This record gives sequence, structure tokens and C-alpha cells, in this order.
Amino acid sequence: MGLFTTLSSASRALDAQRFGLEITGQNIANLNTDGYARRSPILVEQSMHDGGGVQATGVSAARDAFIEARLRGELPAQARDGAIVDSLAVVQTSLGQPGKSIDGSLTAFFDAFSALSLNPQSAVARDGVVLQGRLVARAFNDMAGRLADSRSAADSQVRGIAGQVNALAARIATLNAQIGGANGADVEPLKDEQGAALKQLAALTPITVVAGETGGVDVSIGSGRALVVGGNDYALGVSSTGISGLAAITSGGVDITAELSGGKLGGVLEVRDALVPAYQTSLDQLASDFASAVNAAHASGYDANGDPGQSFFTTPATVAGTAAALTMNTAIAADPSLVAASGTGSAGDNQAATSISQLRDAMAAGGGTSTFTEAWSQIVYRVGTDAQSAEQDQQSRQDVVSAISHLRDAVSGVSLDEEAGYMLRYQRAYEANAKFFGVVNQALDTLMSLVGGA
Amino acid sequence: MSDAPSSLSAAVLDVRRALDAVLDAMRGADVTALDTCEARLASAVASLSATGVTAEDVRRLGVEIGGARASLRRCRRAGSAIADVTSAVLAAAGVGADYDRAGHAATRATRIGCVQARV
Repeated sequence: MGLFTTLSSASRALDAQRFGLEITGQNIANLNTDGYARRSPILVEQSMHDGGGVQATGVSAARDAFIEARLRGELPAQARDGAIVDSLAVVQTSLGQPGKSIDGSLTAFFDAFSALSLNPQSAVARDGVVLQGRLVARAFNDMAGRLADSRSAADSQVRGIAGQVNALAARIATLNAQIGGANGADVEPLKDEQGAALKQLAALTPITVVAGETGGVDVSIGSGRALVVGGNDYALGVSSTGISGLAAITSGGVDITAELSGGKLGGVLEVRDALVPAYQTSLDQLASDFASAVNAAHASGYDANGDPGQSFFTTPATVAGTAAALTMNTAIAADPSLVAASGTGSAGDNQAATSISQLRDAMAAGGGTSTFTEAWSQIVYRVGTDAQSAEQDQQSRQDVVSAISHLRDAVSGVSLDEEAGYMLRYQRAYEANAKFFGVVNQALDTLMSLVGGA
Repeated sequence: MSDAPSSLSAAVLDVRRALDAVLDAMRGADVTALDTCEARLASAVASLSATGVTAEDVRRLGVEIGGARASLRRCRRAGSAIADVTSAVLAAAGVGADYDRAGHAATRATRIGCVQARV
């Protein structure tokens, strides 16, 4: 090798090392950049015929397709549970404190009838009954309003998320076109952005990603509805449906709302279309049971004028909507002497007032399975357990996302052999611990049975 | 009634803490910590015994067992996902779940998993 050749070879080697240092600097600078895949220089040995030495021919980015795909698979479920937890936290707050919500109003109402039963001719006691009748009806109205508000808030979120999905789809389509036409080192930043956009999209709704030959991706949602194909995006539509005006999500004019069960969108839809309506149904049933029982007892009595009692509450024809529409009979509200306290028609009798006050402990709610306050407690308990269940699921999903993210970070940028070695160690270490799980489970079950649990 | 935990309550608490340590190691992809957890979990499991349940145990154990069960569920869920991912990555890297005679991981012929973008 001549002197010129040697110098040329050394120069190329220096260039290659400088290139490597630049890439290292870029990796460090992007340490906290979401979606950034660690780069490494591609160094190619030169043949002696070409002067020998080493030459940098490009950049490679470490992206593990399996790990990325698994992360995208976990994100929708985690985001779904998170959306449910957030929404139910608002619902839980709106249910109020124990004793100061519907339950408190029911207690005050029955207390008022107890007071009337002690002095059936008392005008003050009658005023008290009318006041508490109004208040308990208003408590049901307010609670129904809060649940309706929660549903409306979820609906607004559905519309907002659909807009976010469309914006991300448009961005991914643009990136597809840019990646297809890009050369050299320009491709990697675009792919980083593509990965980040896919991650954001997966958190909103489950997606199926098919990688194209040019580096672009096709994305579909629901049961295979195209969202991005190459450089084209197919925006979701949002239309208001039915009397409620709730948003329906459409793709190509077809309503696909029922197909969107995962991601933040799926979580919010679950709250809007399943959870809150179930609470509304229970509240309506409680309001209906309460009003029916009071009306029946009141109608069997006699007012202060000796006339038969009227219905104390006015309710709609159907159970649905009772909590929102429950009102006190306007005639009784205007004239407390129409409150039926007597069971016989004689002025001093208190039988009707006593019967109504005794409804407090009657198993008259839920088809005769619980008292009114117990039925209310069950609604509160159900919201609480739904929220707790979603929170526990979210924690578990977060464990998985966190573990896989750390695994990805641990192996990103190292060689395949090193990566495989790390993964193998990790797998073995997990298996070593997992062998105890069955024993732990059995022991805990045995202990639980000993202390009287399930 | 004493507020001090009985030996059985303490054992269940140890199991829960050992499971939480496994979970933390998994969440952080910390192989060294995960290795360390094995001995700790083994020790905690060995101290679990269903004999001699006291009145204090009955009062305390329900809550503690519930916590330990929740930790176990989380460990199993995270572990299942990790097992899937590691298996897929190992298969893609051409590494099987076996060892050769020298104790090295057996290598398979195919490598299909890692996307290397060359420009």
C-alpha cells in the first residue's frame, strides 16, 4: 500500500468515526423524544482494491416491530380503562356524600311524615311534609340532571376524539407520502414521527397497521374500516342521531359506533352508552318505586277535609324518565290540608301518615328486595365498584405498558445477539418467579376460606 | 385485641411485598432485580402456613389477602404480556428457548423480527 493509499484509507476511517460521533450526539439529544428510535452508523469495510479502511454508508434505526406492535396493542385497553376511570370519578362526585344526597332527602321525607303522625292536625307538620316532598322530588330531579350531564359530557368527548383521530389519520397519510418520496437520512425522523402518531392513534382507538414496502403504513379501525391507505386518509364522520342527539361515528357513511369498543373512544362510549344509562335506569326505578309506594299509601288515607287522599307525587307514564320528571302534586303543594294523614277520615287519626313513615323500612324497592335507602346505596356502590374495577384494570395495563416500554428501551440500539441475550435472561428471571405464583394462589385461597371469605 | 400483626398476617404481607417487588422489577425491565426477587418470593411462600389462625388473623387477613391477590393478578397479567413479547422477539432473533451443550442459548436459522431501516 502506497503512502497516498494509506492516507486516503485513514481519512475515510476518520470520516466514518466522526459520522459515528455525530449520530451518538443525535441519540443523546433525542433521549427524551417520544417515538425516537436510536440510530447507529452503518460502517462498511472497504476492499484493498478500493484503498481499504472503513466507510460510513448510512444510518440504521433500531425499531423492533414486535415490541412496537405489542405496545400499540396494549395502549387502547389502557386508554379505555383510563377514560372510564376519569368519567366515573365525575359521576361519583355528583352522587354526593352519604346521608347528604338522595338518601338524606328520603330520610327527611319520612321524618316529616313521622312528625305528622304524632300530631296529624298540626299545620306546621303538614307544611313540613309538603316542604320535604318538594325537596325529595327535587333531589331526584337534580340527580337525574347530573347523570344526564355526565352522559352529555361523554358525548362531547366522543365528538372531540373523533376529530383527533381524523387529524392523526391525515398526518399519517401525509407522512406516508413524505416517506415514500424521501431519500437518505431524511426518512428516519419521518418514521419516528410516524411511530409517535400511530401510538397516539392507538391510544384513541384500536388500530390495525399494515406496513408497506416503501415505509408507509395502512391503518384500519373497527372491523377493518380503512382510515389511512397510502397517502390518502378517510376521515370519520360524526352525526347526531335520535331524539337524544348523541353522536354516531361513521366511516364511509356507515355507522361504526358499535365497532369502536377500545381506546379512549371506546371507554367514553362505554360510559355514555352503557354505564351511565344503567345508573339512570336504576335511579328511575328507585324514583318510580318510591313514588308508587307513597302514592298508594297516601291515596288510601284521607286529608284534613275528610276527602280521600290524592296521589302525593306526579310521575310520567313510564318508569324511564321518572327521576327527572318526578314532581309533587301541585294541588297538595298549594294546600297542605290535602295531605292525607288519616286512615279513617276522622281528623285525629294518623294511620295514613304512620303507614307512609313506615315505608322508610319497607322492602318496597327493587321488586321487594330492598328499602329505598338501600336501593340508593346500591346505585352508589355500583358506581364505586365500576370505577374501582376500571382503575384496577388500568393499573394492570399500565404495568404491561411500562414493562414493555422499558424492555424496548433496554434493547433499543443494541445488536440482535445482545438483545436476544437480554430477553432470554429476562424471560428466565420471570419464569423463576412465576413458578411460585400457583403456590401463592393456592395458599391465599386456603387462607381466605379459613377466615370466612370467598 | 392486639394491634401487632400475627406471624400469619406478617407472612401474607411479606408475600404481597415480594409480589410487588416482582412487579416493580418487571415494570422496570430490571433483570438483576428480577433475579433477586426469586429468593425473596421463595422465602415468603415458605413462611405461609394455614395453621394456627388466630382471632387477630381473622380480623386482618381478609384485607391483606385481598391485597396479595390483587398483586398476584397484576404480576400474572404483566408476566403473561412479557412472556409473549420476549418469546416473539427471541423467535424473531432466531433464538429458541433451549440451551446448547455449552450452556449458550440455542440459535435458530431464521431471523425475521427486527426492522433495520438502511438508508
